[in-house]
Amino acid sequence: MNKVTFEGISFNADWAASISEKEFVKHEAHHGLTVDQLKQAHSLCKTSISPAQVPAAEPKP
Amino acid sequence: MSTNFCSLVGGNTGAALCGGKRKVPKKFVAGNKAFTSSEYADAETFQAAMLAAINLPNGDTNKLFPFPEIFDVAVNTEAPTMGNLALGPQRRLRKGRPVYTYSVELTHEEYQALLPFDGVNVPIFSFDDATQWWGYRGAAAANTINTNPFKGEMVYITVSGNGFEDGANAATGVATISVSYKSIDDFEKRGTYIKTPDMSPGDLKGLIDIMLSETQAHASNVYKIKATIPVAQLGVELNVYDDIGAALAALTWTAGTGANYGTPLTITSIAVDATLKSLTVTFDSTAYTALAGGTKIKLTPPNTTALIAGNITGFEIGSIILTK
Repeated sequence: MNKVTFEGISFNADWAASISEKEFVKHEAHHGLTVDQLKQAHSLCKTSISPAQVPAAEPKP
Repeated sequence: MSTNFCSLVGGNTGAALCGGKRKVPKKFVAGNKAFTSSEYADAETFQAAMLAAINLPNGDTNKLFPFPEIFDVAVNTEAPTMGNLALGPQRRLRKGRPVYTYSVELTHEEYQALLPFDGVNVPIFSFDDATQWWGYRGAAAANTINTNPFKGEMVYITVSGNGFEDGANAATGVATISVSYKSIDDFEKRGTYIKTPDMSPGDLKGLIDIMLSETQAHASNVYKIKATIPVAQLGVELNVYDDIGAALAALTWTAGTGANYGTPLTITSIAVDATLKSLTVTFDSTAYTALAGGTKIKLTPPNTTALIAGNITGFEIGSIILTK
């Protein structure tokens, strides 16, 4: 399992990359991070996985 | 042609100079580990293999359990059984088995940790004050020097004592561990040893159990998990959060449900909670919501190998069964 530690929180990067940024922010909102921080964590998770894995596409606004 | 068997009674009685002999035992480890010739090829390799066996998780067939340092040794070896006919010479009918009683200083928790070994038969390796590890040379398909497995000597252990002291005798209040060797042949004919000059009794420490518990009622898929060391003293909680909480959160935990908890349940994040001195474990909400109420979830912490890789040494953490 790929992990990313951000602000002391260890995130499951494989799982994070499989969902949208919006879903990630909502799911992990209980940690007390700001929305911007959660978006940053999600971005780090997506970029940490191997190139062979395709991250979930962000939903169109 | 010889007219007697005298030349065939025994064998040559010489031996190489400066060989080892059993000295005063300082520690022993119990378990089924059999060291291969590769593992005892030299002292450094054996030392590493010994420590690795001690650090294996509980339940591993090759795990070795260190006993406390020995502070007193009483030799209680059985007297040989002798007998003779009325007009005949006294003969030894049976050799006595080696029996040793070790006195150790233990806390109540340490004593309780040894009680599972009371009244059991188990192989042991003994470490003496000449830094020699004693065991027995197991037979291999080809009984060749330095290819046989190095195994523990089978003993029957009892654990007792650790009661109140009488204030006058230092021997009171200590724990006594009796070790009775089951096979005199293994002890004498197959007894063998390896020297580890760089080892000392302090290197041989048993793992401390850490127990997981829920700090408070969970909030949906978010659980608060506390890691503590069980103690006998009432009103005391040894929470390991301050020492290793952050390091634990950074390691890989797993969870499962269903038969044998074989259906993975994704953990999306693990965080530290400084207020509750706990870990915040979050499960995938979609998968969690799909579980029936009352579903059992097994949360499995990092094993001893992962803990050591994460610079957390000397501990083993048990799993916890959570309920949705």
